[in-house]
Amino acid sequence: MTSALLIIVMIVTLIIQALIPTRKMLVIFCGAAITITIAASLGNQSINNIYNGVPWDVLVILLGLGIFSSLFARSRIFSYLAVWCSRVSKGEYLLILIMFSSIMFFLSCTLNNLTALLLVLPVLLSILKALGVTQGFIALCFSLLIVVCNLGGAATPIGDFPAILLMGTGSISFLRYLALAFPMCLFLFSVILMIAVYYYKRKGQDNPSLLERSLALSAMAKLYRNVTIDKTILYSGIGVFCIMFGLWMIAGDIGLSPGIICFLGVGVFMVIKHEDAEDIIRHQIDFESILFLTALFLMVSCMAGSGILDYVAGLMSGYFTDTKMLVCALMICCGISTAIFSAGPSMATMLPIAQQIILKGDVAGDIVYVGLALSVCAGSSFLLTAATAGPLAQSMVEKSGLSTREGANATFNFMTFLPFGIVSYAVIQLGGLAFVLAMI
Amino acid sequence: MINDVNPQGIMRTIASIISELGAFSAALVLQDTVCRLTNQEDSVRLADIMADYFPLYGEIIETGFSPSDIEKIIKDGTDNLAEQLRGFTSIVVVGIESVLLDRLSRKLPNTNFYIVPHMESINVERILANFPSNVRLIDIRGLMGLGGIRSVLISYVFCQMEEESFVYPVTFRAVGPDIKSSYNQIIGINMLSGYHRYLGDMAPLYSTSQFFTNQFRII
Repeated sequence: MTSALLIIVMIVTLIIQALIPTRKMLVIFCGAAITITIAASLGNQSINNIYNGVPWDVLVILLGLGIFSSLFARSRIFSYLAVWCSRVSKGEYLLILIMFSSIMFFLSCTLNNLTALLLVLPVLLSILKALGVTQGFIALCFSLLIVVCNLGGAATPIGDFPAILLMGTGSISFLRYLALAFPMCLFLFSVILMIAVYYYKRKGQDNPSLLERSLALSAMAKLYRNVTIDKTILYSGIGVFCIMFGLWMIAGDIGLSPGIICFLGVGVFMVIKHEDAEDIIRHQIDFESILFLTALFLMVSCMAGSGILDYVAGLMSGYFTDTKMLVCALMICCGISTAIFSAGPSMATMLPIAQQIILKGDVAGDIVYVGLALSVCAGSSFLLTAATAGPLAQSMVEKSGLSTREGANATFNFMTFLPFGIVSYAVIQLGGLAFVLAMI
Repeated sequence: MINDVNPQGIMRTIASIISELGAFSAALVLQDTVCRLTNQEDSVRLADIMADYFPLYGEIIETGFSPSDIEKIIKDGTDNLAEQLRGFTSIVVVGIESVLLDRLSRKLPNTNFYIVPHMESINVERILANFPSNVRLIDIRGLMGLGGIRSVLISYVFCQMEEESFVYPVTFRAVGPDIKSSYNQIIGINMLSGYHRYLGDMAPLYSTSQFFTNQFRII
């Protein structure tokens, strides 16, 4: 009875927060309060146990990497790279597509998606404004960037929430995740980029005249004429990151949790650049997503404590007697639930179920975890609303005043993203399934 | 190359930078690009093609100066302006002209520059990243509070003819009766001497004497 109530509250909460994103914080906190009340009063769970079920290490890593990203971004290295991309592309649409998606992939490997977009999109929007593009190219270019952002995030254990959750909960080691996920994500990125290039070539859009391209590049150079790299932030940031990276790789051997390593590294970086760090903590930190995930983890903790997740895992194991089929079913569920509820809720709910299945079965845990991360990536790439970066990109395009060559306002919304989203979902989900089936 | 040029395409690029660089600076970017790709004859032909879209470019071409000549003129003019403005603690600039402000703000590192952008669609972070730390962007409503005996307000004047000249529309909004009395001086920087045929058909000349007081001078 209690379990049924908890699962109903959880599902209703997730549906309402997906339907009313402007009130998602209110909805998730109400959901968490109701869930905790039910678990504590009807399910006899102690508050301490519920709190202990929250993976605090994950929240520390998310917060720490958020601060690190914001601080490191002040070195202006990313704007510099994006401007360099514009120059090297020579104002040719195809090269812009390839270069900006490549830079976005590698940025997303280390920065969170929102920061990566905030750094690269202003430069991209400027060059597109200066060159003039068709609506078709705008839809293709920004859709590709969103998907690439998700793939970059899934490629490393520090790129996005699902991977951070896996590392933070100790489900998989830093190095193992990197070794399994990075090559796969790089391969999927190449496939999706090739599809985008094929689509672009089939549409056959002409490049602007030489004068227009030269003028656009000169304009870009003038817009960023005195933007220089802050080397004190750059060098200290790289130094601290390398140390953190090294420690994460040997975290298991030295007995330090990934969260502690992140905490120490970011702390040192903040001491070095204390003025900027103070400003970032006061004004730029995304506490909203941290609070959202905390409430979500509390709900999942209540559900785990009630035994409902074990029950679901047992049901799935009973229905799918073949381990490979079971893992595939879990991955597809994870992908679809991510498309509907977004990555955080989906991964937070699916991970305990996956852990139960791994405990019961004869399946390699790390393969399943990477498969789950790829499924979340696929789901995030399905709908514009599923990806954390999607609504931000939509808003940035709308606010930029970007117009098409024909003079109409450029649009990038749910429907313009959908065709590319469906293709990307299919490619990543199938790629993930193939990876798991081949590796198990 | 000039024969198949699309004036709307050129104008789209120019429009994307006018808000952050200024109209005069954007015209110089166009002149510089055209000079690198073609010759003087083509520059004049492009000026005629662009006459209905971007007459300021035509006015610059009519001066007959090359990009390097103009760079030198701006450098000398800005150095001269910096000398005249030395001693003021606050310089409020209505409108952005990057070719001038880049140098001026670095020549007077101990002076605070407050810039009122002449257009709304700007990337504040990018604009400020191009200037030294003594430059800030302000809203037009902040003008009043910055007045004082050691404050000067400057704006840009294009193609002056006796008491009439072209100015950014924001200059009209900025220099009201209350502002006139608040500042030690109000200076119009003469960005383009003389007046040719291009701007004539575009817009009425704004009578400088209508809104500037006797404090106003053009340098």
